[in-house]
Amino acid sequence: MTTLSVALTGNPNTGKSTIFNELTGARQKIGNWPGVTVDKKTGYVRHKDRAISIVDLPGTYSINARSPEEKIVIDYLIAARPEMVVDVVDSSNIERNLFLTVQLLELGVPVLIDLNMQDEAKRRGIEINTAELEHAFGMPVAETVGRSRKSVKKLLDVFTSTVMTRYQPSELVEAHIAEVKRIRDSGMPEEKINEEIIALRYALIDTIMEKAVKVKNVGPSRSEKIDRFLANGIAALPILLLILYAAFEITFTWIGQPLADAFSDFISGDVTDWANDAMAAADIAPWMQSLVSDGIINGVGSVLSFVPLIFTLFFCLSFLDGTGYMARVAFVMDPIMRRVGLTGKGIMPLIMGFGCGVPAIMGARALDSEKDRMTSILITPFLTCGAKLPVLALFAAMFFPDNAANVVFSMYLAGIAMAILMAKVLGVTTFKDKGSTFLLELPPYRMPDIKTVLLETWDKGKGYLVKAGTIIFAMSVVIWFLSNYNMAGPTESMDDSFLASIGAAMSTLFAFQGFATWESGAAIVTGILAKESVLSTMGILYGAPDISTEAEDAVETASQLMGNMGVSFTALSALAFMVFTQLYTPCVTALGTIKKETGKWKWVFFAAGYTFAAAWVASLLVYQIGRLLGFE
Amino acid sequence: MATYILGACILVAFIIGIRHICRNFSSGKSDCCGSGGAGGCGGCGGHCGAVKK
Repeated sequence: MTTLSVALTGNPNTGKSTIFNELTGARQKIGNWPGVTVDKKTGYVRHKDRAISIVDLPGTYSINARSPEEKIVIDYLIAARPEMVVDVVDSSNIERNLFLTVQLLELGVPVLIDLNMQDEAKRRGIEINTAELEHAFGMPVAETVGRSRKSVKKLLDVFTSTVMTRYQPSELVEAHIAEVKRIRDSGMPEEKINEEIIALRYALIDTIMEKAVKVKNVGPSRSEKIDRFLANGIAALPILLLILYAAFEITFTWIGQPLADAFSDFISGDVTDWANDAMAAADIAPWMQSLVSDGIINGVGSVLSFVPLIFTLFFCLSFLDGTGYMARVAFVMDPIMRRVGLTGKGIMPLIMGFGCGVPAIMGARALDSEKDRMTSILITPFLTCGAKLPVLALFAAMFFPDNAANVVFSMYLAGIAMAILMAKVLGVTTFKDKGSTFLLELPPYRMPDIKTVLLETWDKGKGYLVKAGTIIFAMSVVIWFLSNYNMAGPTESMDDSFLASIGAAMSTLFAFQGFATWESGAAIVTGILAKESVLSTMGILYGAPDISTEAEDAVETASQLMGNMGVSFTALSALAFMVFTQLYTPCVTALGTIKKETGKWKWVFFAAGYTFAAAWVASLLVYQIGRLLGFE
Repeated sequence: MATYILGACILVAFIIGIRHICRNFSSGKSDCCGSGGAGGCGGCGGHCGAVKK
């Protein structure tokens, strides 16, 4: 039996990706905002001895081939001709969603209408007569509640039991299609043709709505009531900052930190002792013992210690996303973004940038204008990705033990401020096109699906484990070699090593920032390969695998590191170093993505150079103004 | 002998790490993609492959 090909289409944010994930077992990113799926995804499943391939297409409001998403959908439907096109409809917004349904029928593809979010529709007083809807369209209709796995799994039964060739568009739809064809062939100006066809579609939708849908007036929904405070009014921005601050408190004070401390103790205690004992017992050569203990365990361990912290922060952000609040962030930020020539829509890829710059740069595809897209790509590196977080956390705990969470939070704000400033500068100097309009549908507030939140947290956090085992491992070996050897062979002192020479050359650039040491220079160089390398390099050079960032342990941690590191930094120069690390050149993977997305090397070099320059100036200002104010 | 065995293991892991850096750069792929589809990345549509069950 041949594979049944199914394509999932629908408006943005109707739950297609949730259905796709549930049906195929995939873990595609689910976002409570449009543009999360910017390309098609394919998954495979076997049900009742039938192989089914399911393609998740990007969400679109129409298929006029105007936007990249619309082009992907229409190209796929025409070229691949799937046996079943499942139009996932948000039942709580059925009237607007049916516009796409009508267009699909005009295209002549076999449409199965899936009325999703039935629970939400009932809460809004919307009653849909599915039999009447099926009769009106002449196409099969299924019902799902996206959050109910059982109801979604039933779709597989529908897929295998429905023979699409038995269905024909109803007389009503046939008449509509004939009328559309007549208008298209009428020879009228194209604008007039489009106007008439759109009016015709809405007339058909009105007719079908009258037959199949009843709407009771139930007053403003719960989400609308909540939005009066969270998305509108003068309290919206302070509430946004408060919510983000709460996420930081949870991460740095309540949950993430105790877990990080326990993990750090485990690595620096049990793991290190066991490795040293095992190597001594096996009579491993001393230089190899040094490589493993001083290089790999110090380097990789210093990054691994912060994994619980990162998992906690990602959990908080995934949870907020699941509630529907993150989409409100776009609205709250829209006035600010407009001042710098972007729209609130531009904040969405930037929010992704708090996890990792790479998806943020790729997510900029969803933006409508070239100006918005390029600006978003170029300002993303200023944001605090998860890889920068451990570096900031370490320095904050060491040099500002009583205000670690506040200092890290201020670094996040500094990154946002620099991104906004540079968007303004780029808008005036480089990208002068007109910005685009901003249209966004707010999803209802929901209790997040905890399984989805945990899966997202794991998927994001897992990347750091992979990095620690691959990139950071390799970097640690290189750093150990460079810090223990020079042209004459093994060196007694790191000060005579290759790394000291490289770091010293780089450090000359930071004479006015207060951190002109070869160790800082070396950490900055390695940080371009992966931001966590700043931390692992520090761990190796200062020989301090036992890094704790708990406030009460900070003095102990600081004294452990201060012997080596305190010579290099004062509180003020540490702050300047944090600002520099926060803002400077993105990692090679992000640079590779910029090349891929822009297609030009000039933007890669521009992104690398201008972020470095911005970081250099910002850290200079922090250090010099701090000194003028009497800080050390 | 143990030194050589450990050294060989580290060398293999080192090569894997370097290959990882090169692949990430050339494909514009990030580790944040995880193992399943786009994983945690909304924008990772272009490079995360099909998912089979």
